[in-house]
Amino acid sequence: MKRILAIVMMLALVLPINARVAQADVVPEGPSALQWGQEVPIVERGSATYVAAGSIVAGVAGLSFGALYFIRKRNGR
Amino acid sequence: MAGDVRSYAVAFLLTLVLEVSAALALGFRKRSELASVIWVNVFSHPLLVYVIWLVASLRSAPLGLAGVSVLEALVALLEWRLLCFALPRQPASRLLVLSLIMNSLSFLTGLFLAVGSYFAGREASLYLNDRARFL
Repeated sequence: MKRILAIVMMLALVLPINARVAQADVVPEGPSALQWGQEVPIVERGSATYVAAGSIVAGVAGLSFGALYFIRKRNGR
Repeated sequence: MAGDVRSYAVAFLLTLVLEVSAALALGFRKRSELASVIWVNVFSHPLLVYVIWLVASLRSAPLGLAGVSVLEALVALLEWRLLCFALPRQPASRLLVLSLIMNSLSFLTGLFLAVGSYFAGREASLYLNDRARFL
């Protein structure tokens, strides 16, 4: 169960960043054109919204998982 | 933005009412059982809407009925596992039936409302709108 939560929270946080990087026009010739240390403009127009929304979703998921854990403990497990 | 938040809140409340009603109808009447249903929804609903919104935004096109259906099925499985976690004394099969019925009910109601609002020319909620646009 902890694994599910970890995967969900990670996806909620990482998906929007990856998605925007994949969309960004910084790799015109494919992934090999991305040099080590090259600055990738993750924060472009709109991406901050995705990241913020993803963080809120992850936070809410964490809160509700905590509540479910509390219910489980109160039920004697 | 405020309109999106409001329409999301309406969709979420509607889902909660439907799923709690389904749980009551299936005999889940204890406070801990109903609280579990509510918290499971608090977990899964924002996540589902977020993924639908994210995919639709990045593709610049709605996800489509097939995509939404796959996500709903995944949510049903996720909710089942979360219910099993919160209510370990309940048989897993009973919780699976609960999860399937709750999610089918909210999915079909959402689809029905989306089709209705589409033909009425009104804007559906953020979540329902994806289906309405597709249809």
